[in-house]
Amino acid sequence: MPPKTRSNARRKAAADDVVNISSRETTPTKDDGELDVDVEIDSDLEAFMEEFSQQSNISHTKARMEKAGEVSSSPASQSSASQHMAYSSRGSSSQLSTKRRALTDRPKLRLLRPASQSQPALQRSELSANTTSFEDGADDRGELWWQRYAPQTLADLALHSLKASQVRGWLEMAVDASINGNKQGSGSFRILVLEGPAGACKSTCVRVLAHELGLNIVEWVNPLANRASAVSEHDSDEDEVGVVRQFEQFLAQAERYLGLALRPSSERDSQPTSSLGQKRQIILVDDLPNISHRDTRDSFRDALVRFSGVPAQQSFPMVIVVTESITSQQAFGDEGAGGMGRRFRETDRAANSDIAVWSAVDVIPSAVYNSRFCQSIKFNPVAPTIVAKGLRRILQIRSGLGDQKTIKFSPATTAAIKAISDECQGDLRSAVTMLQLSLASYSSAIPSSGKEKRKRGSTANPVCIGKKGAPASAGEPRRVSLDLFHALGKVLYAKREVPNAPNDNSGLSRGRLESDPDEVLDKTPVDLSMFGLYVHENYADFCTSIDEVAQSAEFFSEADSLTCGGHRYLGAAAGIADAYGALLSVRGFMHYKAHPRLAGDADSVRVGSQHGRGMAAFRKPQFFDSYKRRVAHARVLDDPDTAEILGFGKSLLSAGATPRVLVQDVLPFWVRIAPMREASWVQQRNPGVYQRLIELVAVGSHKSGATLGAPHYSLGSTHLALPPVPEEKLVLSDDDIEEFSD
Amino acid sequence: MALWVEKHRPATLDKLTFHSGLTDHLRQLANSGDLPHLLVYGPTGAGKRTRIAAVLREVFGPGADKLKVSQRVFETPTRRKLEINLISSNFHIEVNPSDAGIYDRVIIQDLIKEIAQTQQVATTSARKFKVVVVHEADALSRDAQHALRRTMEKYMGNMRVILCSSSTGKIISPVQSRCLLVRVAAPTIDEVVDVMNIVAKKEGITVPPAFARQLAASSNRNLHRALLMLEAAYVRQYPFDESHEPPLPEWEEYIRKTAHAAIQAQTPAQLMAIRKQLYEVLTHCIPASTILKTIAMHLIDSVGEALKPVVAHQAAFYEHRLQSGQKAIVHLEAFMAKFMSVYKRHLMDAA
Repeated sequence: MPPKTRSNARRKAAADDVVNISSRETTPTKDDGELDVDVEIDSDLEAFMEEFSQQSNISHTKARMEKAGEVSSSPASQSSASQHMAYSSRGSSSQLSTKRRALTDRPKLRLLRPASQSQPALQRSELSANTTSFEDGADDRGELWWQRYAPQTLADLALHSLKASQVRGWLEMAVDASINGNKQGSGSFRILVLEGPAGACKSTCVRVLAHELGLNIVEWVNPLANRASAVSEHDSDEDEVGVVRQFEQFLAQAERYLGLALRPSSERDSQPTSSLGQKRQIILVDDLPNISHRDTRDSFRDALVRFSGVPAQQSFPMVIVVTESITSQQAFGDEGAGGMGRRFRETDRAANSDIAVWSAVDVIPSAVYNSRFCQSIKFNPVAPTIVAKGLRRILQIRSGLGDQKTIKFSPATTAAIKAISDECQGDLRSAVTMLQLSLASYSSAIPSSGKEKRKRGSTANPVCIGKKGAPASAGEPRRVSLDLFHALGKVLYAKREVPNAPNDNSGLSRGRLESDPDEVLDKTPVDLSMFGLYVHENYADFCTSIDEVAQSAEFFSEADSLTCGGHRYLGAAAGIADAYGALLSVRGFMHYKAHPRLAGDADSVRVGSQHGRGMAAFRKPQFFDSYKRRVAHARVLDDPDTAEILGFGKSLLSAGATPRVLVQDVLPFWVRIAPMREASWVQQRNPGVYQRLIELVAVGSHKSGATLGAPHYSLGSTHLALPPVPEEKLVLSDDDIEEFSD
Repeated sequence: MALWVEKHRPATLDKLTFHSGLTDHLRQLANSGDLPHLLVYGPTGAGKRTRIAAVLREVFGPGADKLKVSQRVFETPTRRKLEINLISSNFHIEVNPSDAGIYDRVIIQDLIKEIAQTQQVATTSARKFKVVVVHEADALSRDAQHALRRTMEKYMGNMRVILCSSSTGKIISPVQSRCLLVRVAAPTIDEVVDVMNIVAKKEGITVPPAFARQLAASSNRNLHRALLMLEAAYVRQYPFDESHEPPLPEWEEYIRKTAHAAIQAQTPAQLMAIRKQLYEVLTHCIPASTILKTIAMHLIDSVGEALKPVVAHQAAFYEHRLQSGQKAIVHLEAFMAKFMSVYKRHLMDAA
């Protein structure tokens, strides 16, 4: 650690950290060095938190809690203190760990009690302080603009007004219901789920609306997020469970107690601070507990179920903000295309529930999600024009012009704004950060004159920010990934440029590929092998002749045998082999595709398309469905009852019947023999297993293969025809595709 | 309810009907007081397991028939728990390591080590070794086979291994060279018919000779299947309806239709239909190798002489791919596509 930071840390530690001081006192000399490191790490964390979250309400909470903590007024801090005591009493041998524990307990102590007290007021004053302080030349280094310039009015919100009014309507109804809950249907307004991608103004929307409506926000702040250093020291399981218990406590407290109404909940509202007025409160869960941890998720869900059952007038409405993100695991689940997760019912995913998927149904139990207590509002990525509007607003504030609409930007700035809003993929937060970054590099290039220039400009003529050539592109855009279907389309259509264009390296008298396969693979939103499956599922529709198909199929086959070498363990090389395999199949297909569409040739109808629309209907791979059903079928072979029913004694193996022999030779005949011979016995014995064995044998009975006719067996008089299998939606409709294209 | 094929399975070497030369050899081996490691191989339904059981009975006496089923839990190096079913008597233990997938090495090592390190304690036993029977030895991974090779040597003192496999091709040569190879060939049509008659006699029915031959032929000289077919035909109608074609298993019927589809039309759309059918068969737990082989055999039967070797070559090629790859459907489909492409070109050349 560089000495400077060290001393800084020490200074900080000495300044306000009581625990640190006490720890130094009790330090045995021989452990000094080691302990020092510990303290420093923690102080670093302090410093980091101090700096990073300066503007966030956390620090306010913290400051307040530090005051409150000294008098130990809240039950949480009491329990925390007693915990501390318990640890201390272990004796000197465990001093080190005691101290560590004490240190790591401190953030918990602060954050355990979220800002239930008059927080909006604080936040508000903070925000207004910020915007005014800029004008008097306050240094804004180390501060993120998206926090500093967070919108405070509905008008500034980068959100479709319809969405905003939806949320507003819900909040009004919900608060109304919690105050006088005797109206009809008032119990329905318990939980509001805001779903949407990152940076889509979900949280901001809630905060702004709460502000406008004069609502008090009680927010859950995840203790674990600020305890990263603690996790490695202690049993993480214990911590996880702890978090959930805390969440339950939080809910219980939030329900029971009002925030301290030290001042009227809203200046604008003329609501009297009566008992009615005090109930204007909502619970906000923005920072979710770690739901990828199974136990945590389960108890989190239990807590939600319990919460939804509480009558509205005894509690407060809850708003849950769920940020969706597409992970490769998500796509690898049964739900097919990434991002479609929320369309699928929970039960579909029961098989691989270990996978963390961040869509609303993974967070909220379906029992609640689909119930009348819960309403969900979906946020779309912010449209580029709205992003641009938001960026202009910030620049306008920065320019000091306030609400004057006369502001005019230089072409370079306009271009930069456009570039940023196009690149940000509807993530307003990242757009603002990009803007900040690009302007930071700009103003550092012109050290002192920048602000003056702006100032001068503001007085004389319309502002020209970025006159001196602000970068046209906002630096490095974040890693942009393509939509799954977009990437798929790029590969499957394999469009080519006009032949004989410069840089033609195709080696054939046709143009080069419009999109570089490497690039497409680089940007796929899913796993490479998953992407390969998608390509494989759909490639044949894009081929005209069987020769093409055969050539491509050959590549797919080769790629598969390359990537996962049977029993060979590839280790770290597996990733490389995956990449090669994907490249091989994609490039192979694109090269041999005979009739490529020329770039811009939008009219030509897709080959082999059932309907003459230009839009391709991509299918999701049948692979997973097939795999799932195979596993389900195979399970019956392991069933101990199977052996008995077949008359093979205690185990299939004792008759020398391996599953393979059984499936191939024995069972197909057994289902013919058994019903005739000892039907009633078999059926009484175990009709379930019998049914499953019949299903296993009946190849071609599944709907997808039913063209070849399904055999039917009857067991005595009992009708054992297979229940109709609902055909799963394999073809994605236009609606699905639209969802990806905006 | 016991199927005939189980009910009338010969329990001792004396009751075996065919391969009398082999039976004599096995008897001598069993009575010699010692037993080498054995690798028993041959097609399904030829009687490998029956012979192994008979040899064990010959070596250890009737005690070898008293089987019990137990479940053992093995722990993999990655601390995953595997539950494996074991069949054991006082003298031997049977295991099917293909249940364990890629962890078969753990099973083989742990199990064999454990058995080998415990001395035979039963005083009644005439032999001082125990036997480990490994079913489906050709499904053993390379790792497991190498582990086996080492343990076979090390614990030769009190343990013998009997490997049961459909062919020697997938057994590594160091293991082969440590075993006595015992080939159990498929019985001839006449031998199958003989066995059928014996079973029929025990059941008190008569089988018309022509019908028996027909069953034997359509069972592909698979005795196991022939007996099942006989029983299926019996429960359907007795006296036997000789005109009734003995039905094939559903999966086989289905695969034949799939193969036929490739001959009917060669378009990408047809291939998509075929893919669906391949998925369907795979879903019903039919091994991919079996599917490929069944299709290939059907295609070879259906195409002209010039194409037969091509089909065989492609089938072998994709069988290899199948073994080294993971997603069976990709290879099966590639084989079908290749065939359709070749066949189409052939048709166009002929026209």
